[in-house]
Amino acid sequence: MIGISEHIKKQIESYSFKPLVYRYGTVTGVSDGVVWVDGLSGRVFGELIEFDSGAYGMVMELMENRIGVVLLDSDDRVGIGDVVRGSGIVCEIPLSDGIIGRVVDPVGRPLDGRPYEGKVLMPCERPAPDLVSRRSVDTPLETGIIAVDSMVPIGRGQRELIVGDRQTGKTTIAVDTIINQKGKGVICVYCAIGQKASTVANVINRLRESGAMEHTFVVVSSASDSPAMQYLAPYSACSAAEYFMDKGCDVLVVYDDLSKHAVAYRTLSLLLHRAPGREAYPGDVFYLHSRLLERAACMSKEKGGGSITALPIIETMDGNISAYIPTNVISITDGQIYLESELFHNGVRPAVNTGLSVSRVGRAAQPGAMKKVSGSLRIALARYREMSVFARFGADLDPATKALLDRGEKLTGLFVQKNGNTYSLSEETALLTGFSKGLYDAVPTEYLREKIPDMLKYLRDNIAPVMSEIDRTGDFDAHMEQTLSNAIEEFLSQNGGAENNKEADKETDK
Amino acid sequence: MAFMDAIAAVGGSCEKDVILTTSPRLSADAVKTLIKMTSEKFGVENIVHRTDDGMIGGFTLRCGGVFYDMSVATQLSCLRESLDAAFEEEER
Repeated sequence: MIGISEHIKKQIESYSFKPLVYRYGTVTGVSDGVVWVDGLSGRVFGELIEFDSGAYGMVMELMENRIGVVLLDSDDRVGIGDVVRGSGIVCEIPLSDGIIGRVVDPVGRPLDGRPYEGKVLMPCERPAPDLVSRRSVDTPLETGIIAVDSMVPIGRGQRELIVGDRQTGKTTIAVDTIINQKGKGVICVYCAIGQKASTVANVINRLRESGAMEHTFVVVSSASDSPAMQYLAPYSACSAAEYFMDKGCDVLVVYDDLSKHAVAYRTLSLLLHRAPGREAYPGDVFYLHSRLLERAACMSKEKGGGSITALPIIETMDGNISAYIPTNVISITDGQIYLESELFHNGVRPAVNTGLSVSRVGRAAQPGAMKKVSGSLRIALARYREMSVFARFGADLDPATKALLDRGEKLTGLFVQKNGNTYSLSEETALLTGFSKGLYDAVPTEYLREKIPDMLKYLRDNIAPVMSEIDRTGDFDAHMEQTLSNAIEEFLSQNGGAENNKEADKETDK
Repeated sequence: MAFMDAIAAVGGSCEKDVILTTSPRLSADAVKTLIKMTSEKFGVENIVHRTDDGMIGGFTLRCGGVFYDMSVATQLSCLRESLDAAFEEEER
C-alpha cells in the first residue's frame, strides 16, 4: 500500500459491502436489432439498457407491459430469456477539450486507434436554447467559396442547408468551409451519418492533409453501424458542439447527411411497429430534425456569446427539392444552398444555383467589404440566365445584350473554384471589385478564368498591406478600393488581357 | 454465516421462480443451506440453482423482477469505482 494517501486508505476502510438491488426485465423478442423486454418498469425514453451479455441498447418504445430497446451495436449475443437491467442514465457522450483532432463514434468511443477519455458526460438529447438566451446573427462565417460568401452569406449561429443530387459537391462545400476556418477561432465538427467508411476516410484524410484536424473533430456512424447509432450520431455531435458553445466558442457543425438520418429513423420506427406515414416515414420525422437544428443558435453575451452554425446536408433525387424530407428541412433552416447537377456537368463548380439558393440572414452576416462589391451580383446573374435562353437559338443580338451575356459568363467564370482552393475575404473582394468596375469587360472569359490564380498572387505580392487590411478589418475605404482597381488593371495590361481579346475578335471576324 | 445474514437482509417478496446463482467453489452443503434459507425467506418451493465462475464468490438472487447482487465480483467492481473517484479527487 506504499504511496496511497490517507484519503484513499480511509475510502477502503470505510467502504461497506451492500447488496446491489435493481429491477430486471427479460427479453421476450429479438429481431433486426430491436429487443422487446418484459418486466422492466420505470424506464425513461432514451435510457441505456444493459444486457447480461454486455451489450447495450436504448429504450425507444414504452408500453404498459413491455419496452422496445434498440441495440446500439449489431449484437447477436442477445437471446430470448436474457436478463436486462436499466442503467438509470440516458444516452450520453463523454467530452473534453481533448476531443479536438479525434475521430469518435456517437457514444464517444475512439475510432482512430488512440485512447480517449472524456471527463464531462453530456446527454445526446438536450433542449434547445430558449428565446431569451439568443441574440441575432451578426458575425460572418466565411466559407472561402466566393459564390456562397457573395450571394448566400452565412453567419455564425445560422442553419444553412446544402441540398442537391448525389455527386454535386455538397460534402466538398462543407469540407472546404471547415478547412477555411483555420485560424478564425471556429471549432468544427464533421458528423458522418450512414456514409461509406471509405468516403469518411477520404474526408478525414483531406482534413488531416490540410491541417484542419487542429480545429476539427469527427463523429462517425458509418453505413455498417446499427440504425440506432446512425440515429444518435447527429445528436451526439450537437452535444459535443454545445460543450464548446457553452464555453463561449463559435462552433460549426456539418451533418452529412440528414437524408440518411431520416432513413435510419424510419427503419427504427418501422421495426418498432410505429404507424408509417408519408413515404413510410413516421409522423414525427419533422420533429426529428427540428429539435436537432434548433440547438444551433447564437447565444447572448450573458450566456457566453458562443454559437453553433449548422450546415445540414440533404440529398435529393433527380433535383426534386419538393420531396418530403427536403421540404421539411428547408422549412426549418435559415436558407439553402442548392446544387444543380446540370451546372456541375457543365463545369460550373461549385454548382450553386443562385436563383434557388438563399440566405435568410442575408447581408446582416456579411463583412462590409463584401457588401460593397456583391450588391448587384444576383440581378446580373438572373438577367444573364434569362438572356442566355435567346443566345441558344442563335438569334441576332444587339450590343447591349451581348455585353450582358458576356458579363454574365465572366461572373459565372469567377465563381468557378477548384476543390480545396478557398479564397480569403480580400481575394474575394478583389475579384468582385474588378467585376463591378468593369475591368474584365475587355478580357476573354477563358483567359480570365486561367489567370485568376496569377492575378491573386500578383495582388498579394504587390499590394499586401491593402489585402491584409481588408482581411483584418473586413472592410475597405475609397483609397483602398482605388488601389485594388489600379493593381488589377496593371496586372491585366501586363499580361496582355486586352490584346488577347482583340486577337480573339479578329479570329471571330475571319 | 455471512451468506445467511445476507439472505436475511434481502427485502421484497417473490411470486415466481427464484434463481439462485453462486460460485462453483461453494461447497454442496453451503449451497443446500442457502437454498433452504431462500425458500423459507420467500415461501417459494421451486428454487433454481446455477453457478457462475465469474462471480468469484457470494451469490445473486433473481425473483419477481428484482435482482439482488451480492457477488464478490460486483462488490469489487463497486470498490474499484469508489477508489477511482477518490484518485480523481486526489489529482484535483
